[in-house]
Amino acid sequence: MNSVTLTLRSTPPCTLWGESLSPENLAGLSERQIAAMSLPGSRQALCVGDLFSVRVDSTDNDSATVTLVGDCGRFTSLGRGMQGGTLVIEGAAGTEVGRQMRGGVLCVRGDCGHFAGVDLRGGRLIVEGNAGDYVGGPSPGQRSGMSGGTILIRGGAGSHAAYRLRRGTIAITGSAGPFAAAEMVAGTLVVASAADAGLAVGMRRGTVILGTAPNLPLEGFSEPRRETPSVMPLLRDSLRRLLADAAFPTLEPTRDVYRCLGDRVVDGMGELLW
Amino acid sequence: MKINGIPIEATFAEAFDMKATRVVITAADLQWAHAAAAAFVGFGTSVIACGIEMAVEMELPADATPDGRPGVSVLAFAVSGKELEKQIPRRAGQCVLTCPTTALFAGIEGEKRVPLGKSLRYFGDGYQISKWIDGRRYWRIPVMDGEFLCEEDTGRVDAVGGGNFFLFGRDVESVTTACRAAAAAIAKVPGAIAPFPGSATRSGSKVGSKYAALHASTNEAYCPTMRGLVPTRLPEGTNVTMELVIDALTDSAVGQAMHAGIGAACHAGRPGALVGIGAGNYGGKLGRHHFHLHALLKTS
Repeated sequence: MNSVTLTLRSTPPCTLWGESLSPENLAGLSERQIAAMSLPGSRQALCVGDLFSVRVDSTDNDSATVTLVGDCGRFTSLGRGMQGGTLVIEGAAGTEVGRQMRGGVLCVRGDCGHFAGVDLRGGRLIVEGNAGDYVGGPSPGQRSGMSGGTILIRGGAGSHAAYRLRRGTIAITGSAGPFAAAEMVAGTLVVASAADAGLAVGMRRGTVILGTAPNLPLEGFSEPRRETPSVMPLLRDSLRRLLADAAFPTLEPTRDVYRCLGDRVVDGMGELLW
Repeated sequence: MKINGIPIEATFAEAFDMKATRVVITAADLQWAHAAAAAFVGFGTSVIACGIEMAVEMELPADATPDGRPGVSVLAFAVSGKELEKQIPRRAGQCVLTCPTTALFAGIEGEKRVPLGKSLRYFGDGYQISKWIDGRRYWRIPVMDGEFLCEEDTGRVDAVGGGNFFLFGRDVESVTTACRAAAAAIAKVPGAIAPFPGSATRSGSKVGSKYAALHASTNEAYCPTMRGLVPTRLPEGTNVTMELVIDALTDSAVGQAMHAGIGAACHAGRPGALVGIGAGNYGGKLGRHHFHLHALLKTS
């Protein structure tokens, strides 16, 4: 399978849609074919060759790999809907990276914009830097957020992380902005550092695992109790694999955790563990 | 053919295709796990009237279970997938869910599935919590000691049931000794169980009965007290017979279990206590898996 490397030569003059730069789209194409591909933009369409140096290598890998080198902060929807292969962005990514992704691995080596992994349905999105607002949230106009797969943010996240999360796991090794896990429906959100105000407001189901004690409103959540949830060993193993070397005392095997349920304001039964 | 001086009959055991599943029961300690398993597999000796044949396959150390607690694996066999789907959730609900500290997990992969938490979750009355972890769905049902954790379902596979051999002996003590040695050897074979009490049955059966309502009845040809009244199949000197019935995930596991069991039985107890080893069949007309004793044991 081919390995495609696109090295950005100059910053795009406007926002461009990068959805077509996915492993399944580029696999099997020649350098010339890739360079001739058109990228729609907010003001004008540009060819890949206008912006990138294109190199195609053949590898022994079973799946296609695409590497974008450079600051791709002006590209939106990179990896949108990708179903397999590996997409690596050696730099920043713009908004909606990994939107509606269904499979494969998408790795951003820098920061990314808002709406990372919105409506994600499968696969793994890794952001080595910070992410903007609405990580794993719903696509505009949709009721439910991410419904499968995994998002790992190695930095911090903006507001509304895991908003209306329905299924899957979002792990943030830094801190989360306001309204993390708001209106969460199910799934798992991990915040290894602090979570800002409005945490889990309107949460119905699901699990939020925190590295520090949250500042919860007096109404809406049950009194925290020290417990050993039955599912903790399985969650712990799974999250340890995901978080790798990130320090997270809540996941220490010998530790009981504090647990509370809410948000009772909406008859919710989500759980917060720390 | 003889092993340790004990004659091995030139016959074969006839076994059948079955459907099987495996579950893992864990608990805070092994005592609770065994208590749950004992109830779970109870009344699971024969498909004739129990609908299912079950037994503990092996103990599992904490590092070999999904939740890092000690446990046991249980194998279950039935004549149809539908029967498994009926028996397993019913038994799990009454025997595992009820037992303090336990959790229940799938123990085998299979495209066809047997429900576990998929059925039991309703006991949670709306307070149950579903959790997907690494592509598997678990149910957390609030109970009086915390939560009952139960995987959504377990796999179902094709299997083989009804491998068997007879231990013919002079008295109860000598056959018991041989029987227990055989049971211990069979217990070490992965993927195989002997579902009868203590791994053995004394009520070997034949197909049918003079009573129309019965599908099976005593096999008088192997009953020592019937000698002289009906044609006997007991070797000379036999006063007691015990049968070990083996179900396994593959026919090679049935063969391994029979090999291990017969070998252990022949070397247990005092010399001459056993007068022979035989096997039960229906003339080869009912089951497609035939385990010929001489062929099976020729390596020993």
